[in-house]
Amino acid sequence: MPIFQSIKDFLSYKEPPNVDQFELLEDETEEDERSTERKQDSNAQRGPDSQQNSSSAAENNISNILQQNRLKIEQEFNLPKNKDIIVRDIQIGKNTDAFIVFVDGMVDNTTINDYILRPLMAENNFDNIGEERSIDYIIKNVLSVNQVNKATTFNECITQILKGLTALFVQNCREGILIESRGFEKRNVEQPVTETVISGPHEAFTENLRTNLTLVRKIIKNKDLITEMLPVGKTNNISCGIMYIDGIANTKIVDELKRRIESIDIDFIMGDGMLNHLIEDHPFAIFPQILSTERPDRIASFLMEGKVVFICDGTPNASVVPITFFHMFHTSEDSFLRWQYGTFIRLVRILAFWLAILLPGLYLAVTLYHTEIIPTELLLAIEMSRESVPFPVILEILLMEVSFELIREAGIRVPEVIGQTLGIIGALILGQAAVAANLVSPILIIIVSITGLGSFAMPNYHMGFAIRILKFMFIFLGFFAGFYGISFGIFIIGGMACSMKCFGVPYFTPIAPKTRVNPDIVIRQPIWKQSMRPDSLNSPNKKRSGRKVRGWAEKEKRGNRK
Amino acid sequence: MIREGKFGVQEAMWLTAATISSKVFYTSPGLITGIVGNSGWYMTLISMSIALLSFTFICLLLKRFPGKDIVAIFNDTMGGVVGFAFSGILGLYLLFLATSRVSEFTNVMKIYAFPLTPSVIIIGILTAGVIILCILGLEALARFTKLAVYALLVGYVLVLILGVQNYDINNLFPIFGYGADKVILNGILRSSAYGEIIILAVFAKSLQGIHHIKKAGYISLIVSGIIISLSLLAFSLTFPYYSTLEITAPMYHMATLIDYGRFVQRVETVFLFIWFISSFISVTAVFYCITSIYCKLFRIQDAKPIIAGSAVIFFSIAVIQVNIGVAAEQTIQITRQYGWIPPFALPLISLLTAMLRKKGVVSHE
Repeated sequence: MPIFQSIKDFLSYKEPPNVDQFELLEDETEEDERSTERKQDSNAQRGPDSQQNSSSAAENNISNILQQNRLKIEQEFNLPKNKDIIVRDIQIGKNTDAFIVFVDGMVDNTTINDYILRPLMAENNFDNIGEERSIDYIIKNVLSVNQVNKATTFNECITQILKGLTALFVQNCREGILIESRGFEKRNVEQPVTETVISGPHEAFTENLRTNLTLVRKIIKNKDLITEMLPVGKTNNISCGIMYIDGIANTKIVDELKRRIESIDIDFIMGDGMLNHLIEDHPFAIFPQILSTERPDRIASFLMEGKVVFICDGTPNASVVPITFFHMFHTSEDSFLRWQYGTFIRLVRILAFWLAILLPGLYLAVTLYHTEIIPTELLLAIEMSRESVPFPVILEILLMEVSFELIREAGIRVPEVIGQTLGIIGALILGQAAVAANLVSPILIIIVSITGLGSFAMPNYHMGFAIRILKFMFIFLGFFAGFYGISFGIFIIGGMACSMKCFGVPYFTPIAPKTRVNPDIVIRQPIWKQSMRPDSLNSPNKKRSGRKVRGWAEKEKRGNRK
Repeated sequence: MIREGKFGVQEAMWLTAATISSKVFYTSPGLITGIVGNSGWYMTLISMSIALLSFTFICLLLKRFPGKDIVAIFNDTMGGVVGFAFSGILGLYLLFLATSRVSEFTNVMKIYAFPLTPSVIIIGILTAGVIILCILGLEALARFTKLAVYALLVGYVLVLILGVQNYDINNLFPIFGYGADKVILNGILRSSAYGEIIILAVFAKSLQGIHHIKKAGYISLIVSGIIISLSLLAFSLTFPYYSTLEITAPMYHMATLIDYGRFVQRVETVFLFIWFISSFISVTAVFYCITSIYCKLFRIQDAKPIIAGSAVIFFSIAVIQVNIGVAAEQTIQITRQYGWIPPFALPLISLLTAMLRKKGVVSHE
C-alpha cells in the first residue's frame, strides 16, 4: 500500500500550503501582527493543556514535609539504582532536618564541604535566627557561596542539579535552595584548531558554555550584551546561550531564532552542529547557511555588526545568524591586517574557491571538447604525458581525486603525528608511484594538488565540504558537455544559492540584492571608512562610528588650513 | 499563490538587459548587415529609441493601473475576451521568441562548439536549466543575473578590447550602408529586438511601483542598446561588409581572431561561458514569462506544476525549429519585422482604450 500511495502522491497534485517565510521587513505593522499571532498561538497551545498542568503542578511543587521531598527526589533520580546522584542528610544548626542533592563529579567538593556543609552544620551560625524564615536566614547568613537561588518546583531543582548545582531542602520549607557548586572537569582555553591565524588572538572556545560566554564578554565589555539561556534537547537538556547586543541586533532576528529553537522537538542535541541543521532555512542546500566558528574574537565582531550568536554547551563552537555567502571568505585575521593585505588575501581565497570547484572539470572539458584553447606546445606536452596512460581522462581524474579525498580523511582520523606523515606519504609517494606506474599523467597531479590547495584555503570548514562535493559535480558536467555542462552547473548552483535566505537575509546580499554595506565584502577598505552596519540586518543602530573616526587627522587638516 | 517574489531595480534592469542583449551572440548581427549593410551599429540605436518611446506608453499604461501586471490590465481595459486574446498573443509571441532563440543557439553551438552532439542533447540541457530555475523562482533568477552580469560584462569588454588588433576603420564606410532611408525604416521595424522589455510589465508586481519599473526599463534599454551597438560596431570594424554575410555567429568569430603571441590566442572558448550563461538567463526569463502569463490567464494559483508541462511544449517546438533549419530561420526573420506588434502595439492599444473608456487611475503629477 505505501508504494501505491507514493505513486498516487507523485502523480496527483496537492496545492502547497500558503506559508509565510520569515523575512526581514522594515514595516512595523507586520511585526505587530506576527507577535499578536504568536501570542494567540501560544495561548491556543496553553488552553487545552492548562487543566493537565494544574493537576500536575501540585505534584511538582516542593512540599514542606522533608520526607516527601526526599521520596520525590529519589523517585525522579531513580535512586538507589542511580549511583552518581548523592543525597546527603544533615541537621542544620543541630536541630533542623535537611538534605542536599548533587551529582557526583559535577560539583566542586571543596565548595560543598567548606562553604555549604560546614556552615550549615555549625550551631553558632543560627544563634540570631529570630523571626526570619529559616530559608531566607540560611541564604543571607549561613551559605558563603556567591550564587544562591530559591526554587519552588522539583523540575527547576532537577534541571539545575543536573547542571552541577547543589539543591538544599529543609524541613518545614516549601522552597529549596539552589547553590552554585559547579566544578566539573573541563579543557583549558587553547589555540584554535581549524581557524588558526598569525596576527590576532590565539584563544578558542572550549566545550564549557560558561567559559565560552566569558571569552566573548572579555572582548565586549558592554552592559547591553545580552545572554539568554534556552534548554535544547528534550532528554539531554543542554543549555544554549543566545547572545546579542541590545540596541544593535534586530529584535526580529532574536525572536525568530528563539522561536525556531523553542519549537524543536527532539530528544538529543549534542551541540550547535546538530542545532544548526534543525534551524537553518534550507536544509537540503549544499552551501552552509549558519556560520560556525571557534574564535571568540570573530564572534565579538559579528555581535558588533548586529548579528545574533548562539553557543551550545558541549561544543567548542559558536554559531552566527544571519550570514551571507561572502562571510565564508572572511577570517578574523583580515581585521588585524592592513586593509591592502586583507583585500589581497581575500582575493586569493576567491581564486582558491573557483580553482577548487572548477579546475578538474575545466581540465576535463578542455581535453575532451575544447582542445583549441590550449596553445600547441602545451597541448603537445599534455598529450605526451598522457600517451602512456591507459585510462580515459575521466577515470584518471576520478582515481586521483578519490585518492586525495582518502588521504585527507585518513589524515584526520589517525593521530596527529602520523597524520602529517600520512599526508606526505599520500601526496608524494602515492602521486609519484601513480605517475611512475603510468596510472595518471603528471599534469593531473598538478591539477589535483592545486584543487586540494584551493579547498584548504577556504577559511570556513563547512564551505570546504561544499566545495569538495561540488567539484565532483563539475567533473561529471565537464565530462558530459564540456564548457556547456559547466555553464549549466554554474547556472543551477548559482540559481539555487541565490534563492536561499538565512534568517530573512538573501544569501548573496549585499550584491544580489544590492544593499548598503560597509566596504568590507571582497575588497576591504580602510577601517575608518567602515562606518555602517549592514543594511540587510535592519539594525536599530546603523552607525558604527562618528564622522571623524580619525579625529587627529581632521585636526591636523584643519591646522594646516589655518 | 503565484509567488514571483520581489526584487530591486538593479536586478530587474540587468535581467532585462541580459535578456535583450544576449541575441548579439547569435546570427542577428550577420543578418542585420544583410539588411542595412555596415550601418547596423547605429541602426540599432534608432531601434532602441523607438523601444524607449514605446516603453513610455507601457509605463503610462502601468501607471493607470498601479499594482497590476499587463495581463490584468489587458483584462480590465479590453474586457474579458479581447483581453484574453491580447495576453494570449503576448504569450505566444514570447513562446516564439524563446524557441527561436533556442534554435538559433543550438545551430550556432553545432557549428562552432559541439558539431557531433545531437541537437536534442543541447536543447535538453538548456531546458533542464530553464525548468530548475523556473521552479526556484523569478527572484532567484534575477539575483543570479545580477551576480553573473559582472563576470559577463568583464568577458564581453575583454573580447571587444582584445579584438582591437583586427579593427579597420575603413570597414565602416560607406557610413550609411544601403542608404539612410533603409537604415531608418529598418531601425523602426526592428525595434522588436528590444521587445523583451515587455517582461517588466509581466512582472510588474515584483517591482516596487511604477518608479522602479520606469527606472529599470529605461536603463536596461539604454544599456542593451549600448551593448548591441558596440558589438555591431566591433563586428563591422573587424570584418569587411562582403564577408560578414557568410558568418553565422560574428561575435564568436571575432573572438577566434584574437591573437597576441603564441599563448594568448583562440580565446573564443572563454567567450563560450559568456554566451552560454547569458543564453540560459535570457531563455529562462522569457520562458518564466510564458508560464506566468498562462497561469494568470487561466487563474492558476500555483505555477510549479505548469512549468514541466510548458517545458515539454517548449522543448518540442525548439526541436522542430532546429530540424526544419533554413525554413525556420526565414520565418524568424520575417516575423521579426512584425515582432514589435505584441510587445509595443498591444499595450498602446490598451492604453488608448483605457483613456477612451476612462479606466484606471488618472494621475495629475
